[in-house]
Amino acid sequence: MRDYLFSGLVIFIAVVLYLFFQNVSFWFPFLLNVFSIVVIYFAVEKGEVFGAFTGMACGLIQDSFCLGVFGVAGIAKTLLGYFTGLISKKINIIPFSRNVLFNIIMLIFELLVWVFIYTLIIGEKLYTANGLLFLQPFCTALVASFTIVLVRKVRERKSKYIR
Amino acid sequence: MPSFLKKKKNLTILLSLVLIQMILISIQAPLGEEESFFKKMLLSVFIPVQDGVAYFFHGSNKFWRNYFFLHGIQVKNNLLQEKYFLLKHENELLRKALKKYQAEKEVEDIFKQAHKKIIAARIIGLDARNIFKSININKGSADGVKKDMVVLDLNSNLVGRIITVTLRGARIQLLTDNDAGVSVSSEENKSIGVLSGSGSGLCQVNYILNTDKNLDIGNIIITTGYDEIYPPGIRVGEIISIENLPSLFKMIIVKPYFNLSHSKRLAVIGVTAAEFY
Repeated sequence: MRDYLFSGLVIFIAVVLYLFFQNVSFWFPFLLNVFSIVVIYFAVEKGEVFGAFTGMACGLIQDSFCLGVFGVAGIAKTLLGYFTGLISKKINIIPFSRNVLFNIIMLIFELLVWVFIYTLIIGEKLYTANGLLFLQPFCTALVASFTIVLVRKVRERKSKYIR
Repeated sequence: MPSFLKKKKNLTILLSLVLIQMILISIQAPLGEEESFFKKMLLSVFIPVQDGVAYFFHGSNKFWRNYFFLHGIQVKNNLLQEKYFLLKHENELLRKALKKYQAEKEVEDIFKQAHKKIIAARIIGLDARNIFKSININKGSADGVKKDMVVLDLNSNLVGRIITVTLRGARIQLLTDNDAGVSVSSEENKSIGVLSGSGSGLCQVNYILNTDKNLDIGNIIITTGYDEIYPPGIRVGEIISIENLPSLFKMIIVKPYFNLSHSKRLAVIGVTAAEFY
């Protein structure tokens, strides 16, 4: 229960951050997807099922901020959460560089799934915000890896302090 | 639960989640432009958050500009005073002109009615997928906003129409959206076409025959009112290119006049199409 409440709180913070970045610049959300960071974090920390649920929640929230079909980002992020959780258990992604590379691959996978469903269902020309959309996996992966490392460091310090 | 589902429990959960979302997508197909109940519910929850964040951001920005960063304020103030002076005199002249035809009380009533019919709104969010598709504003059904009301910018140029309304906010479909459609004509002559967005900040006017020689680059495009959504005579944009295609119709590209980066303020015309006609 505590985990679900915590994830709800983190998703709410992600929504506020997303809206704040949008106010800073129109282009910011195209470069950095805060919802994907949340999905990756929970998938790595809590496993594939938790990742899939978080992905669905984050994706549907992201879809509610767009005009048009509801569920496109939802499916892409559900798959991102599930496969990130599943693969991260089987390979070592603790070193920073490996973590960044792994996140980049997973986010490119998410972008491809999203583009595929978008073109299939909506059938419109994809808006790339002057190409910024293609940089999104790289920027998001970097910030996600920094976040994971930072959270681990804080947790280590906390456990040392308790001991 | 069958044994193969127990063995692949996680995969079954994933497939169920994907299936739920596929059903959500398929439910929307018969709704057309109408947004699903679940989406409207999420929008109702997040519009106050969106408004709060936008209010905080603009408040702190305003605080910085009004109390610390005062560069250019004097020039801006002088320009506004000059504009106010001109508008005040224009208003007086129009009142006098109107009085020639109607009694004073009737003129006052017209002005009062016109004032009541404008709902001032502020942009609180942009479309996450494409910034040229839709925007969210901070006025909803509680403020009298209804579906299909027309939205103008500060210079009375057409921005779009209200497509979804929640209690405290609404979503506007911009002219530049691919699915937008407005009956338009040129201000100079009356060649009528249908304007739709290209999803990249520009619009195109469709269904004008290749044989029509009346249109030129630089012509101003206005609404005709034939679509029974947008009142006639609202300025939309300017023709920037005309090309004859091998098909029957011309390819006419229009640059819309509205520019949301200049101001976050919008005017919702508080009369629906049905009331207007």
